[in-house]
Amino acid sequence: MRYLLAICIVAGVQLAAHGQSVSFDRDVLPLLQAKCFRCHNGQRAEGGLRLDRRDSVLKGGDSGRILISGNAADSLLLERIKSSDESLRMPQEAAQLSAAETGTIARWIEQGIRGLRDVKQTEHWAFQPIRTPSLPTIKDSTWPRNAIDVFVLARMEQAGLKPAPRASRVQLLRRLFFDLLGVPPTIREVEDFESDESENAYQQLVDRLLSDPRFGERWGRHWLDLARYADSAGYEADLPRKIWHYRDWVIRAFNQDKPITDFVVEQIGGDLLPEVTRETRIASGFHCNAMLDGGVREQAVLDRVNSTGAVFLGLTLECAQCHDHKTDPVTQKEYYQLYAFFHGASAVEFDLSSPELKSRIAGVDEQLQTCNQRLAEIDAKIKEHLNSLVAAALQDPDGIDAAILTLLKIPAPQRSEADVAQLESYFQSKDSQRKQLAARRDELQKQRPDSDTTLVFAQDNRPTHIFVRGNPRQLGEQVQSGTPSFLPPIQSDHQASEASNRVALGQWLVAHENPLFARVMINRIWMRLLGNAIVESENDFGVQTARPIHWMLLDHLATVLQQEDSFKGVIRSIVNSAVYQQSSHFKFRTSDGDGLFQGQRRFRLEVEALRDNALAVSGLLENEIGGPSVFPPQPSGVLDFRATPATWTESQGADRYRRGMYTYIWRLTPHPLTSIFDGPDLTTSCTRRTRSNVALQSLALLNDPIFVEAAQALAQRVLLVHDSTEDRLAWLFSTALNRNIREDEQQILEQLLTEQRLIFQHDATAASLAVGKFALQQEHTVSLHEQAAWVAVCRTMMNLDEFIMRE
Amino acid sequence: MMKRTMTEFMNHRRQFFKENALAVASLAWPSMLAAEGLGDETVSAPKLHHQPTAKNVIFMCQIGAPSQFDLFDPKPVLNQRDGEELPQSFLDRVEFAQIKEAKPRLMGTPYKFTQHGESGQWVSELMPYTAGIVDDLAFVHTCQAEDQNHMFAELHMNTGWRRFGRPSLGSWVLYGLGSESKNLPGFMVLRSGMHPRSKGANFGHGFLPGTMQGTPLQTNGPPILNLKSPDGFSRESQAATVRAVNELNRLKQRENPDPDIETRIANYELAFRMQSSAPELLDLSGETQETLALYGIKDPGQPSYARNCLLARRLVQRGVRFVELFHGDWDHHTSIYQRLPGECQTTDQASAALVLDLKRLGLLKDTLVIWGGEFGRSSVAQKSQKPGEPVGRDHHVEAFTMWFAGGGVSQGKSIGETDDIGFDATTDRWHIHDLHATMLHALGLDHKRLTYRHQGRDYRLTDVHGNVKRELFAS
Repeated sequence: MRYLLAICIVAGVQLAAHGQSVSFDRDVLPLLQAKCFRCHNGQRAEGGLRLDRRDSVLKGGDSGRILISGNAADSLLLERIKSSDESLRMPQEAAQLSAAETGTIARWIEQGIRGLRDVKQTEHWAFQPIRTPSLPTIKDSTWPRNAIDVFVLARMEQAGLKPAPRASRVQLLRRLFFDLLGVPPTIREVEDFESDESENAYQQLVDRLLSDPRFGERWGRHWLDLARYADSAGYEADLPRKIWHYRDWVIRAFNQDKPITDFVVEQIGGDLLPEVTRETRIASGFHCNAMLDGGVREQAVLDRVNSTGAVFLGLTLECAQCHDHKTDPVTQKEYYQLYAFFHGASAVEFDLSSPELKSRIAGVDEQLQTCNQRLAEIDAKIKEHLNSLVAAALQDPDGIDAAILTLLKIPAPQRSEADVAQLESYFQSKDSQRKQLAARRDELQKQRPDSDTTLVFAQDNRPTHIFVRGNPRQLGEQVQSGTPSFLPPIQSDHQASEASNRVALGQWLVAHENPLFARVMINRIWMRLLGNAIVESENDFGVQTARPIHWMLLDHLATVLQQEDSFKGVIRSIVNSAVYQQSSHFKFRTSDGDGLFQGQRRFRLEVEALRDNALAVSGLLENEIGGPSVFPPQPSGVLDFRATPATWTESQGADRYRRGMYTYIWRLTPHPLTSIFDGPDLTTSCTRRTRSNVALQSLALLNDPIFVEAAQALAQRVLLVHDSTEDRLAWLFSTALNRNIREDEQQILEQLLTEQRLIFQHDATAASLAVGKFALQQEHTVSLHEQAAWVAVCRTMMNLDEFIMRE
Repeated sequence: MMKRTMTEFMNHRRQFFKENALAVASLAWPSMLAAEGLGDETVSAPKLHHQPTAKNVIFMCQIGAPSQFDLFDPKPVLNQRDGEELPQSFLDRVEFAQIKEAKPRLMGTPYKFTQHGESGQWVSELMPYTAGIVDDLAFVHTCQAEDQNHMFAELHMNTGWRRFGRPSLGSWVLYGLGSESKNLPGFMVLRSGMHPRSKGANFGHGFLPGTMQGTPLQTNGPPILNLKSPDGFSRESQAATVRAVNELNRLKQRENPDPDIETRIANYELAFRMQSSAPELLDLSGETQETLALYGIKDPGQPSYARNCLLARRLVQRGVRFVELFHGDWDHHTSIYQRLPGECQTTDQASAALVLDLKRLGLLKDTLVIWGGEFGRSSVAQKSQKPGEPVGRDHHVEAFTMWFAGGGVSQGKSIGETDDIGFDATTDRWHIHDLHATMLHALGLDHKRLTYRHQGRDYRLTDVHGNVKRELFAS
């Protein structure tokens, strides 16, 4: 045991040897925060031990002293960290300390526990101001392409690791297309890039893609996950709602490279800006995306607070809904102070109808009014002459319903109000002119176009109280709007006017003094481009979250984000870095390099990009941007058993092949591909999608109608562009995978062709079905069974791992 | 998150089994696939740590936490003391999830408890069907959880860890035993009512290989979509296509040994087999009226808890190793006496029918059936904040009831006693970790030796805890 410990200490010294002496604040405190404070704190002192107070650390706990300054080997703390007895080994509720971490602690003890002090929750790394770290020194100065790489390489070198080599040119092109646009490059684009010999061909490509309007769709969709965008309201009723204008605003904002600060302020308080515009009002729809059931309005407001925490601050504010936050310095009162910002805001319909649409609606309304007027006149006449009408009817009672006859026979003075109403309605139904008018009115109502609306915020002030134990029906102390005290203050006059309140909140979120916003935002952007985040718990930067290995990189990037205030700017910096351009090949990754960004990641395309990729390659993809959501095919039965009915009238023509982000989202029952391929959770902000890999996904790619149609269209294309099998297969690989086919691959596909030809040769019906609506014209020389065989080949291409992976 | 390559994983498994010389090979591994020319790799028999009493598990996870006091754990003293304040000694230790009053009051049950079967076990009038099978069941009245929060308690119950990121029960079992079914995923998930708060994390694979993830059936419409090949594509044509896909994927995998490709290759093989196996699985037309009536299924086309119970039996029949049913919502903070009867009506008959059905088909002896929530409910009343709304029960983690059947479980047994007001266990405390250790034990796995190395550390389902509760078993 003693021997083992000695080895550890030596190892620790060696590992820490790179730096200077061990610093409590820099080296030890992050470990205590990540591994120890959870159980050994003021509220929960397991084993009678608190590690957040200097005197308590020195005194020890129930098991006695834990530290002997200068003597790591005899310190209980080290013994418990290293214990081979699992019931004794610390920490009990976190992953074991690595050898390097153990070494750090040992060395700190050996060096005389310098710097030990009382620690407050707010000292957490993520709550400290963002620093602008100076560039570390590195050995290999040839690798870095920009500052990002210097930070990444410094840590790799420290760990004795090498970056993966740069990916091939074509792989980079393909990666950039998927990452920035969400679609693959065409053969032409591959050729152009490969033949571009200019030194900055890559950077120019990046610039070109960043100005492509499909960039806004790709990155807008990422943002819509955070916005919990859907086309229905959620909860059991899940009624439809119109808010697609907000979706389109997000796309425009990314394409116009709206400054990040404006992007946020407009979404939080765009309806209240002094210079409010149609666009800023639409932007305020961000929080109107919350699920809403009129009966529990406060749930939507709670969601707005919680989403604000998760999206902009990386805080789990919801933990302070019922009581003070257990680990982060957010009190319940502060939670409801944030609530107050949103309590006085409701989602209302904002009419965006064009003058043309408005005049059409007005035209119909005018006719409706005339109709209604004449109906009213007739009804008035009937009321006036009711007695004579009754008398006339009694003259000729044949064919009159018995119940009506009884009514008719009641003498006028004895008629009740209900009798009168019933009689009037009887004579109304007998009036042929009125019948015609009523039919016309119904027709007009059907014709009346819907206004073009979108949900936006509107202010309707109301007082805010704390919900006792989170119960909206148990009101406690009244509170004013405000922000958590552990963060820099909001501008002091924010309460001066209700109209400036939410705007001030937005400005507070994006203020440079806010230590969380830039770090949280850049961490997610990094995660999308590198596959892994710098801070893995990307929606929780709270006290429980350990300082990341790459905190300097994080702060460097956060500084860049603040300085550039541009999504395109920071994305450009990242994709131009060498770390982004590394190969994703598995052989270049070592387990030690996992958290150090050694090598790029391969990951499966998200559900929307999967579909867009297939449609793009097949030539079916419709590139129109924005507009009302569409209804591509989906299996029957998906909308059954809902509390309220939902319609799905399958789109025909171009709308069938729009990008996946335009598919109508019934929040309760989304398109099944969404759930099969890990689409966003639509009930709250989805800050990160999972990436599962299950057989149901293979079934979908094989058999879902949209992928089948794409394969049929691709087969039609390939048969039209080339004549020989060899050329056709080569073209398919170039189009679908952007690379040359290899001989072994060609053999497999040729064999498949042979097999499929044999199968379809003897079954014309099957061949016709397999080709579907994409049969070639009759004059074309390719037989139906040949075409069917090629559909099989194209289906094969579209099911390949390489086809659905971003590498 | 770092994942090991499949080769590393297989080596690890081999090493793991080599070290456990106590291997007992007793399970049959049908290879139905050779005929299809797919999935022809040989599957070796799992090496067990000891003789198992069960091969499969069905966990009927009752989300939201059913009330033990109104269903399975009668407390005459609690009934007598109904309305009295909870004694200070308890109050000092308890942290309620929602109750905020200083002096909450004890609440008995309005439901009548009677003894049932030869074993004479107590069941309330709300669960008449379960009452009918008590001689097959072992009740444990002293289960213990830790988290008051549903989300974390669900994770604790389903992954052995109170936070996200760990493999789920089914994944650990697949890791230990492999799948017996070549035609269906080895771990399948059925949901009804309210979905679990921790969602897919309750059946995720964590750091274990992706093929060990639970496969959830759709809750709207057909349970599994896309089972039919595209129009015009015969089984033969589809088979050739899938084979070409995997031959090309295999080339890719040789070039780049990403474990995701390995998983995908396995998924395509499985997907193709599911095209013929799953429709047969989902087609309930072969089930007799008598069977449908046994479960209380009125419309087999409509998703329901009862249909899921029947599907669970059909899955186990087809060799699926681990089936988990999630059903909610039992979270009766208010109006418990208005809502609990309905929840029981929805589930009681089908839960009991599953046990009966497994038994008559001879499957019960090999299948460990588990019924229970993520924790229990309080012995004190929770007043609603809404005027006029009836009372409910708050969460309670110290002691609650679960029941077990089949798979070597002692029949008609009652394990564990709680104090007079059902607050604490007085005997046989069963922590969640103990439950997990015991479940693995039934399957022939030692929870201390079923480990997986990840980020430099050996992980277990039971972390550093857990004791096998041998008293659950008959012998």
